Amino acid sequence: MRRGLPALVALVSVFGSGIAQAQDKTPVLPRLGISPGEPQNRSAQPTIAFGVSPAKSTAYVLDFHGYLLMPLTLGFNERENPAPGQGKTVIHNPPLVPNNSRSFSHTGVVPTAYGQINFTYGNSLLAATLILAAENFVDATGLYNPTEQLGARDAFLSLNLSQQVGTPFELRVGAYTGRYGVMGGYDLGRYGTPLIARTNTIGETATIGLELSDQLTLVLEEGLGGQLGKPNRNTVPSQFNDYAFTEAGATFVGHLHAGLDIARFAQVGLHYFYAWTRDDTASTGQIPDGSISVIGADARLTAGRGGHLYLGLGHTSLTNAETVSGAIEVLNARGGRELMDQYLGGDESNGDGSLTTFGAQYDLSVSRLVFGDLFQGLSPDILVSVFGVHTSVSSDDPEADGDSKLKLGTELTYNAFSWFGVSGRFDHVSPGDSSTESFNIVTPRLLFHNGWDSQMEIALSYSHFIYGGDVVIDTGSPPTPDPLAQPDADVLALTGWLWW
Amino acid sequence: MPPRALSPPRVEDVHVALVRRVAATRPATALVALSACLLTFTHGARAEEPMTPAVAALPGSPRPIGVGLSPEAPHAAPAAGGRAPTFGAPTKPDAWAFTLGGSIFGWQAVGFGVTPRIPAPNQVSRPLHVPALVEGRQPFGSNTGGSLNMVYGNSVISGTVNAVFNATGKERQGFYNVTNGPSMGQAYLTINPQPIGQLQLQMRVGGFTESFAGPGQWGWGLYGPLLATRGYGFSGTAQYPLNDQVLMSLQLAVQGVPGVPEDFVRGEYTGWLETGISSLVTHAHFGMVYQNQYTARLHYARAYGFDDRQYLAEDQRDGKMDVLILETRYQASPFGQLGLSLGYWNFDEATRVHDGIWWGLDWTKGGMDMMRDYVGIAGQPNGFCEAVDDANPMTPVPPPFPCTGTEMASQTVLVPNGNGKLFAISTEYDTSLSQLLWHPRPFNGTAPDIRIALAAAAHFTLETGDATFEGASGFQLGAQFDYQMLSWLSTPLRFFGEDRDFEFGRYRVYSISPGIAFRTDWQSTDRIELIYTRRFYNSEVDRNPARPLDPHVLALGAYINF
Repeated sequence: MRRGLPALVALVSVFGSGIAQAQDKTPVLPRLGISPGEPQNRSAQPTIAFGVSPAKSTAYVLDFHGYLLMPLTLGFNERENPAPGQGKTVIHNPPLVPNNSRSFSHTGVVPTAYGQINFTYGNSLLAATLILAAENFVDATGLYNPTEQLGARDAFLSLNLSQQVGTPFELRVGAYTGRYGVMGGYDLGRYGTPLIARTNTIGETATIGLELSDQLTLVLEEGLGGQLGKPNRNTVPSQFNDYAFTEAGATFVGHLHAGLDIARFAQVGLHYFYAWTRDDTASTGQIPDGSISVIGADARLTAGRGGHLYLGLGHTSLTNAETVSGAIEVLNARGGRELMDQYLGGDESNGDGSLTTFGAQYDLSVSRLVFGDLFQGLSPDILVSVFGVHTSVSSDDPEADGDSKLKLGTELTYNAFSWFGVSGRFDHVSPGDSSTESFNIVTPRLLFHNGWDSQMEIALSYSHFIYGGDVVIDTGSPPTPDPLAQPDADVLALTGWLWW
Repeated sequence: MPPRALSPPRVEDVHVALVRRVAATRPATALVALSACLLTFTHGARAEEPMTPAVAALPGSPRPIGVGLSPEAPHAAPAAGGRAPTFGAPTKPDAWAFTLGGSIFGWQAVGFGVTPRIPAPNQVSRPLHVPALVEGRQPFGSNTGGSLNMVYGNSVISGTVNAVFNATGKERQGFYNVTNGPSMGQAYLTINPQPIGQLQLQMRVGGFTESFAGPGQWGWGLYGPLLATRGYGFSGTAQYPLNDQVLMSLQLAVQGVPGVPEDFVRGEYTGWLETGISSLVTHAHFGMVYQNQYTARLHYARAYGFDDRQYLAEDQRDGKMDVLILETRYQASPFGQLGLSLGYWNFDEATRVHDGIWWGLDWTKGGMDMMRDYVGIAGQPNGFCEAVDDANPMTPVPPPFPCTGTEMASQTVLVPNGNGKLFAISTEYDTSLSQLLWHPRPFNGTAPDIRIALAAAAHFTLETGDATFEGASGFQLGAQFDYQMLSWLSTPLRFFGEDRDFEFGRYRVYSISPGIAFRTDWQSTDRIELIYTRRFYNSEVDRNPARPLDPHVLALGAYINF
């Protein structure tokens, strides 16, 4: 083994050098079939480079960004009594696992398809952004499901008046989402869930930064918005309208935030949301006015070699919340109805209750810890991440009152080469008070990249689910708890991922 | 001692520093020791890494001031392992480029009908139909809209998104047709690693379609590919020149089409859909090209269907569909190209196979479509019989039980035939008359010309459980002549014929379509075209006397590919 290791290293080194020293020109590779991107007749495609970001340009320019997440996911299960013509092993795609993103059980370990392309046109003063998005890709899916084709998901103007005001100041107007309680350094965190709240409104947001001293910057933000529309009272809930909830009224959301940045090292924030409805056209017109308020606080340490630490706390109060629409989301549950179903116990709660959520995530680069600024992300590294969310429920439904939900996880990633790394993730999810409702997930992964600072990843992952005896997964359309469904214990995922 | 240069440290320096540190101070913690071992392990592989400015996206790096997340950030968790920087993280500028391609098209086709032999009261004497009331192939597209292929990347890696927009609104169609989009059709990564010697590799990961064995000049042809696959998955291609004359290619792939729940409401907006079934396709391809003129490729694909339906199917079985295709092609100047593909399909409970094999013969979709058109899906006994109803209606009806031979035949459970074998041959010849006449002088396409495409396909049902389709066969004929007399004007003439067995007898549809086309230049990819089509049907096809099919169709359309 000792003799084998240097040989392996040498082999890898030679192999890597061989790749690097190969011919410079990249010939066009003829395919055995037709490229899927190719039009149905031969055509020359113009190449347009967009190297200038509108935020840096005084002239109007077009900026183009995108994000693609494209997984093949296969869940393996065994039939208890296979019928004639049936094999013992059955493969599910998508897998039958607890993966409903609207529920607390969601971990994001099993990826789901998502893509968006962002077009921004503007200059350093004014920029208009249009975002097209989809949660599935029609050609690869076998059907056109309108609710997965999000179309123009966001459209907004951003007005940067910093120069005119003399301090960082931005006004955003249009239809867009706001997400607060961001557990990751640059993203929603390992669970893909804003910890405090999310707004889905058309309206405005104004943000101003006030430099109190060289080390202190105060950020104030306010926002006000509402829905673009709502289902009519006689709208028939169906597949194509994502099962419209006609009881929801026109909902408005106001929110205030204050954040203090301390030497770019620590940031603390306070958040307040109030979503309400006063709508006499919803349903019978006799439904009570509802509201959801959220108050939250979070803190973030960007400690350089010490890593990144996020701590957040949110308290959500619901009053007759069934009528509050998805203009506000808490823990990915859209509006009062989904919060009732996922947390408060359903109709028995009358939409009254509260959630108290605490979450944390810590990310560490071991190479950065060891080498400090000598390490620039261009050599091997070990990334450590620990994360968790806990929610306690207070509800008018005695069955749900006092519920406690917990999910914890850790992930260790070893970036061995510029093109290859391995990771292992462990998740524990306890969505109910009973331990038999909990489950654990062990996920080793092989990660492939095109460089140390790659913006792409191909991941081959295997997830093994260890279920308690009373785990219930959501199946069907719309997804509803199915006590009879036997969840898959093993999931294989091949995921392509790219952003630019 | 000279001052230390303020340049970024080399990778080697970093590891030397690490080794020194570990050597000088006993490993204080297991973490440092572990990291030292792991981080120095791959030293050799990093020697070739260029030193570029750091990416400030590592854990602990400063982030933009703000109390929320940019609305541009994706609604998704970071990449697995937290390995790659997430969307929005600061990165260094790169030489990536945006490439935009696609097409914009619009067609209007009006069918001129005939009066029924037995007209109804107030029957319109000469009806006009939009869309035209026709059967069989049409010589033009039927949509109005566009598609955009957006590619962002560099020579090594790129991401592609295909977005489709068709007219959807009441203004155009009288109803909101959601199936026309907008939608994202495909999204995938393409990776072209640097060649290893003479070995070239290419990988594709994501949601995409791939098509094979079309006998046309560019792999497509008048009758399309004999095999197309789709789904989320992976495709890897390798190409290696055996010598100066022979080029060898190999491709392996796996793709999966997700299923939807059984209770997913089927509607017009969903397109063709078999609920409750997902499909998985594995396919392999091997090709040889000799002197860049002679091509032979072997394609194999197997699609699996896993049937877990609880109430939509009486007899859940796992199905599979195998496809084996030999593709050959001769291409040389000035004669043009001749393609010939031979296909063999084996169906094993294939009505349970969804459309991971996206196209088969003549753009069929999945196992059910192939069975319906070429092998037959007439009910077959599955060996079970329905239980006799109890006199007491309150008693639940028991499930089917194995037939013992004593039950009435009408009680036998019938399931769609899913078994059979099919053989097909498809060929196409494409040539340019000017290229033939100008030879040996080269013809670059910027002069009058007559482009000719001749295609034929035939299929034979070798084995089936559906008596209607025993010994069934059929053929298709196609011809396309385009006389381009001026750089901006041409007169296309198209002929299509389809003659095959189907469930009502013999399906015969023929059409001839003269037209006139305008374009901006000899070789331009834009076209405005007016096409008249005379269509001929036999009585088995035009079998509804109250609503006869349109014999005349007039179409006006335009498109541009870019």
